[in-house]
Amino acid sequence: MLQQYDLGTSTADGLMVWLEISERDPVSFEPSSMEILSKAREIYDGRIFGVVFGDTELKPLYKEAFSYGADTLYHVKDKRLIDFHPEAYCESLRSIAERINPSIILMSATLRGREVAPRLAASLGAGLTADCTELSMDGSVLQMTRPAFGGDLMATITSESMPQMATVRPGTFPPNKISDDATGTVIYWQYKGDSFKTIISSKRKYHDEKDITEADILISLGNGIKSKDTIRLAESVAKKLGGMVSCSRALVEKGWFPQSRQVGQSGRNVSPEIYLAFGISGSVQHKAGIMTARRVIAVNSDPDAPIREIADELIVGDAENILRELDKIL
Amino acid sequence: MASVVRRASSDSPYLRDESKITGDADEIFVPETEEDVVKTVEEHFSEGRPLTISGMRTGMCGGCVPFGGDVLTTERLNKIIGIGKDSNGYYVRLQPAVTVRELNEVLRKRSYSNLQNITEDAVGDLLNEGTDFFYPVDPTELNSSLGGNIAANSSGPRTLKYGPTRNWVRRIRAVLPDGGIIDVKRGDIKADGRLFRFKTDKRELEVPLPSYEYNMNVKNSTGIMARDGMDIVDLFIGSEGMFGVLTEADLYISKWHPLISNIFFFPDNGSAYSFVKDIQKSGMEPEFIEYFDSGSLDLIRAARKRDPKMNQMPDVPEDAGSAVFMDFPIDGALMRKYMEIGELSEANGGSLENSWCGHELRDRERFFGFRHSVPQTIFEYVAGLKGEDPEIHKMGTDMSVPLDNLDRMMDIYSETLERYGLDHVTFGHIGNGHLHVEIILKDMEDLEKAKNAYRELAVKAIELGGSPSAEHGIGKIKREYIELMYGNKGAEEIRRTKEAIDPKWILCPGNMVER
Amino acid sequence: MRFVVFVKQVPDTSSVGTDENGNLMREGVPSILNPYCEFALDMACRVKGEGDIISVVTMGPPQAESALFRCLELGADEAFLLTDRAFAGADVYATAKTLSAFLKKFIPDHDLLFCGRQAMDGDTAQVPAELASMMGCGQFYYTEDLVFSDGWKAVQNYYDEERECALKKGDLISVSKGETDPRLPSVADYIRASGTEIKKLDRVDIGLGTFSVGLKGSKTRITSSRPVSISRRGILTDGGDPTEAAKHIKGMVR
Repeated sequence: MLQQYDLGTSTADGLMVWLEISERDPVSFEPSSMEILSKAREIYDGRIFGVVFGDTELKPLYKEAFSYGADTLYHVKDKRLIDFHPEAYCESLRSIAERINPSIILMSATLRGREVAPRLAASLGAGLTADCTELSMDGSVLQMTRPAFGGDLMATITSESMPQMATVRPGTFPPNKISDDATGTVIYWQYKGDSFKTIISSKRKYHDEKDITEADILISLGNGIKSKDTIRLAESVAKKLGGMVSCSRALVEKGWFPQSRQVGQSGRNVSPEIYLAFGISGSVQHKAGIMTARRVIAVNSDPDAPIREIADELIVGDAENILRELDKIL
Repeated sequence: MASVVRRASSDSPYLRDESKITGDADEIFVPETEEDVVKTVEEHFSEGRPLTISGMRTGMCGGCVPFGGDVLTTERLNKIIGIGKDSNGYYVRLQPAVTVRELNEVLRKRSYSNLQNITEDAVGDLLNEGTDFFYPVDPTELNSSLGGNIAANSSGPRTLKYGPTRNWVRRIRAVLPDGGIIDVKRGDIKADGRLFRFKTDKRELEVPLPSYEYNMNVKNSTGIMARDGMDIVDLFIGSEGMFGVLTEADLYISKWHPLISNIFFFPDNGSAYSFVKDIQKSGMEPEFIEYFDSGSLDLIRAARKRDPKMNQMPDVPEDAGSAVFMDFPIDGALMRKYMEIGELSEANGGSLENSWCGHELRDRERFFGFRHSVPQTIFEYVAGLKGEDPEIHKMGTDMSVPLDNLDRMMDIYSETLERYGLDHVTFGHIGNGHLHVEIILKDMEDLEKAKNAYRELAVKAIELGGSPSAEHGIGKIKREYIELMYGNKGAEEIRRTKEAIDPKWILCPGNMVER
Repeated sequence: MRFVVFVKQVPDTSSVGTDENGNLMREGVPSILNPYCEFALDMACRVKGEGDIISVVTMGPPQAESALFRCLELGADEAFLLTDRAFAGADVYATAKTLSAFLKKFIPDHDLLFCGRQAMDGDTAQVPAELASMMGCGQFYYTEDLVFSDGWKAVQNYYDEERECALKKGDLISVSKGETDPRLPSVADYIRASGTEIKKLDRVDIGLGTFSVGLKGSKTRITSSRPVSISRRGILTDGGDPTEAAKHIKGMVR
């Protein structure tokens, strides 16, 4: 078991990141994992350890991990771990953490990251701050900042013990390559446990589209959209602008969109360059989900719609007509 | 600040209300202060130009629908001003466009920080009360403006316990057709027999009242109120904007107590009706009793199939052929009442299992959404038909009869409508002897039949001691009931009252009576 | 079978408004059973068979009792309220610690554990995994369906992958999907719930020291908070003319 020390006198050192794999064929990293490496390099002077799960298919990725700032890569090499087994992942991460005794463990607040991080935190007796949007160091103390309830406050949180753990909101930090030919050490690690789930069937759902968290421009539709045909307009506008279509909770409930397109606290938190909200009044949860967007432009028939509080501009007008016109002139 | 003026385009929302009849007007005046109202009214008075008052346009009889002239919308007179207290309790002073929902939200959340003390320390006293308060008149359309509620003397399910809007009005302030202002609270001005004499800042008025017997034994919104020695506040309540533009009112509020909403399902119409009669005999006094016949439940089922989000309720049980909706206070007597209801419902083919109940605020709101979805569904159906035939409009009865005659009236409804071959659904305030019978029109031919059937039913309702328009009012589409109920003479007398206050007939012309 | 459902009471954020300054107005906002927790309870109710028992547990202030009452109305058989002043200020770790200690002591022989995916008031789906970790059981996040055929099977949806996994006795399910229109209890349910005692347990009952619970047992501290400084100005633009408005938007995005 990892020993716990007072933060000031801890001998823990190093920063460990679980680097999530989003595709196996061809193999690629979850983009937000590279964002975390970049941020880690920026704020942290010590060694940075990456951890990856899978078999030999991962080899082409080593270089990328180093180029974004990892010094050492732990490759938990096991064919069975190509599939996601949260219990086995967690046990492996824990045994690696016990070996290197890091002062910080970070991972991305993706669906899987949010599942693994708390399990690991509990097994290490570590504190965990979820979904951070700012990270900085104060000596050896990691300052973790995240929106508090409703997004009207930003709370800065610190851990009471080592390691200090956080998950990071995807899309918050820009990915930044330090060098194309950076190198580092790869250590093969063996998982000795047997906490494998019995996966009876698994259907990989291929999306030819990106995740909405990766889009630079989001055309987002809300309850003010009355006609389902408007979705096609929005898709067309998004295509012309090189963006994607997202939505508010109301349209997911209507069954017009899958949950993966939902922006907001119960959906995805997004940070696009431009967020164009059509007919979204702006619930507390929705506003929290777009706080880190670079620019927010809303179109709504109600000048008092709460989304105005978080928008650069609120265009008062008919969302569907304006979208139709926009589609025409683009 | 000057009022905003807009041109009324032909598809302007200011030209229609929930009756779906459409009028025409030139300009829309949007006053922001009482001075704006006075100025607008004075201009129209001097030109003799009609001016129709518009609130949230949730009325069902075209009361706010203009036919010529201009529209004055009260929408920006939407502030809650303050709180006061007198021997009858707390009251809220507000402008006319505050909605029922807004008022109740402010009361529930106790967000009084911006409110004035109308009487000393009233805001602080109300804040320190151990119980919450609420405005108890629930017109089912919570987005209706309170000004509109006063103009229509709105009632609704809770009228069974709390009476109509009239019972809750303490004071009104209104701009009369000549621009004069009247500011009166109850007790200030009483009629001398059937004649009011009073002064505004402009002139002295002498206003004769109709001589008819105004039926107050049933829910009634047919005609203006007229009684010997009545209060002038009551003349304005339910006057459909004929006498003045309301700019302020004081409304009493009531102590709130926790309630549980219940819907019991029954196999058919007869069993639910018989259950209602058993409840009334039991003396357990629910806050209200609402009835849904099999047709209304089918409407809800069909609407949910088209739009599952229509109301946020579970699906109506498949075997349900009717339903009864009641609220009870959550108190020491509740379990005893439930035991009794259990027996009564089983005797009528229902059970405590075959029911829904809810006591959390959001659930109770869902129940009321469910209740409101019946007329809503019919509005939408009619709005759809309008595309094919603009003349078509909603044909729903709004007739009340004394409870003793409800059996008889129910028979008359089904006998008459079957004779005319008209589809219909029945729902509503059965506890007050006031059911809504909605005729489901299929085409223009049905509309003609429905008009005749409707008239026949209205005559019967009056014969049985009831009112042909219990709560929706007369507006422009039910004017014939004035004569039906009060004869030619009564209609003439209403015209005389109107003339005395509005000699040029500029305010809301065509409501209740034509010039 | 013994099913345990962990629930939380949250403010009904759908009715949280903001004042002129954009601050949340929590005054008068009713508390409700967290919707995802209701999904979890619904799932347990759906698979419940004759003789099975559903226990619901929450840690919270005394008024959280109303969330448990709702669970009883909706089909839970017994309810536990873990309430103690010392529990106040608990972070995820201290919360999971309290819940796991309760479970080990009061319902050691359970078959399945159910949680909602996340709380609507800002929690971020951590308690289920920390609880599973402390219980040493398997965890099944993003579960949309639970079926029994030759053992329990959970259908999990990870956006890019949908899979069905077998569960073992004692495993934890985190439920992410349910009916959009919540169920309503019947009057009979209400009567039954009114007659069921909600068992209240404090720190001593559960057998935890003061340094294991609440703020003292927490692993994280909020050191500062600041209002969100969003420089967005919320400029109002008239979009009455759709063509002009579209041109305006085009100018901004291109």
